[in-house]
Amino acid sequence: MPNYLTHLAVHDDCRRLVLHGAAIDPALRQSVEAHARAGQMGAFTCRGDQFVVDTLEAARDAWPSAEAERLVAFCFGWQCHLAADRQLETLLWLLEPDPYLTPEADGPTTVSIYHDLFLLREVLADDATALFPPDVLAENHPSQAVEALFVGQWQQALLGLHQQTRQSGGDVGPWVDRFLEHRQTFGLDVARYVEAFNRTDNAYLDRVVEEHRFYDRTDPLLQHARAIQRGGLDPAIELDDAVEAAATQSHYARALRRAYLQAQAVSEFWSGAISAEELRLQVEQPSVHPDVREAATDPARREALLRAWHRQSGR
Amino acid sequence: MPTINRRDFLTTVAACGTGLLLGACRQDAESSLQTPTQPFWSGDLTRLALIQDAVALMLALPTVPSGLERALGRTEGTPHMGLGLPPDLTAASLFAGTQKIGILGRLTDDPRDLYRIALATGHFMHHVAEAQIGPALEAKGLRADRAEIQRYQDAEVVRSLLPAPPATVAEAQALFEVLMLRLRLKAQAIVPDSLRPADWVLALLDWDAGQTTQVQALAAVVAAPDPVLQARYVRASAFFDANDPLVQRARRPGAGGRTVPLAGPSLYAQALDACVGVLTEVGRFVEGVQGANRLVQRLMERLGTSV
Repeated sequence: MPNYLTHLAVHDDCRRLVLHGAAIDPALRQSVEAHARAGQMGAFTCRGDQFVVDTLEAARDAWPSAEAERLVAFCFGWQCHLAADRQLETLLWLLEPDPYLTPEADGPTTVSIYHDLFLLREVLADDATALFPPDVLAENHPSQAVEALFVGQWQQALLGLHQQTRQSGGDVGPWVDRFLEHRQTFGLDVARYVEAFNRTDNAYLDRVVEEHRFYDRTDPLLQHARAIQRGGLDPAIELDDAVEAAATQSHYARALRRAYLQAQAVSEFWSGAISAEELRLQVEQPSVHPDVREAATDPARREALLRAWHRQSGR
Repeated sequence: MPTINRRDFLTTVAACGTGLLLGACRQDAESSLQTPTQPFWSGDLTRLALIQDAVALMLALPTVPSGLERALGRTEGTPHMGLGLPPDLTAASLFAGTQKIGILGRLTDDPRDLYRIALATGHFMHHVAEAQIGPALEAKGLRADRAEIQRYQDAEVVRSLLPAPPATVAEAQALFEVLMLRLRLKAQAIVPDSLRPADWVLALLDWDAGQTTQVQALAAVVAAPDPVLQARYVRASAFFDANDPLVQRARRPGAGGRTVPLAGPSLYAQALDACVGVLTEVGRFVEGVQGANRLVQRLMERLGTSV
């Protein structure tokens, strides 16, 4: 599945579109504008399909308040995470299925790391809101020496925020099961990022970015996002047209389109045009179709599905 | 319809000690001891470092019991989380449920058993460390500003682990900034709570904001400690000695040695020795040499509390 930087890039880009989009409810725009950090935390959070609608309903009940704004901004980021997963998980499954098929492998695929690093350079590196220091992927960074301590601190803190694990009811076995489900893992080896960043295999990068249409700088939606990022707007690009065209363009543009359409759906929910249940139908979808999982072991079927996925559009 | 019971939620969180869960204190034995007062010393990074060092010491021993090796080595740092047991769960009950030892005389490979051992062991290490350091600091009259004392002691431990101490506060801030981003990469995504998600989101955002502030404050002390406070909180209490043989062995586990060296007089080394003692007792349990009840009794004795 996509990793942190991809989720963050989709959030940051979609935030740009939302702040400049006409068809977005002012409450949503105001929340997203005021609480960028909350949105980024939402983009950093998984399992949003189960919780976004309930959380938005709670926010609507508490509106207007700073807390409700933070919830709306967080849900916006949460949906960006979902949108990236919906579009890109299938691509990742089809490009490099082995790590997903091996039960003991829980690290991310090399493709997903290269996608992250591409977006770090293309979208995040000069992003004033993301604050990436240039040496974040330096080799032998001194912070490695205390990394395990802070992992422990985060694990404790995040576990402490879970009500599911705060009581055992005296029933130890089920509590251990809940603990295993809710504990925060830190399974990724940052050395893989450091290696890929400092000794990039450019042929591989070309294959997973250009050949498989992960990102295309000529896509109008991406041109639009980059223009906003650089402080201007391309007068030749209409946002709605660019969103529409993205349906059959690069996968990143499609992920961004999905995120933007989700934001529009939230906007419709907020204004009362659609119900919570209608919104739920859009949010609660599996990110990878069962056919893809099944076909992943068969190279010929995988290739056919990959070709289809390159063409397909969807909300 | 979900609602935000934020005040109730935060009260509950505070009662449990938020991320640190300090309140989940000494209800370790089945007899469920009640010690409602919050422990004075709650050294956060210090206690994590003690557990890390104790685990490194034990795993480097050629005689480490296989069950202990698996519980410590295959559970992704879980001993650290032993502080966060819910108040209604006893560490003793975690140990008790892992006894498939009757047949094999060995701990099984069931991950749930390994995690139970890791959590319960970590829980006791947290508390024996506290039993060593807390009263010693109190005896020296050091309880004026707990957060500040802790920050100075944590900073001392962090400095001891870094390859070179940052020369300036800006350098330390940059180092921690990189670390925080790398932790996000490592985590890939945060797992949400499935009860009252809106409350969880707000608590998460509060934690994120507080954590950022705390790390900045820590960075400032790591790079430029106030000399008076450093003398009072670290040197005068003989808190840490980087040359202690036990600490040195823990930080260079490849150095060999069939036994654990004797600890010197620093508070940290004494606490580390106590943590190693917990691991030794648990090792006897997973080998089938002593049962769960006996184990818990011995650990409670180490805590200075009778069952």
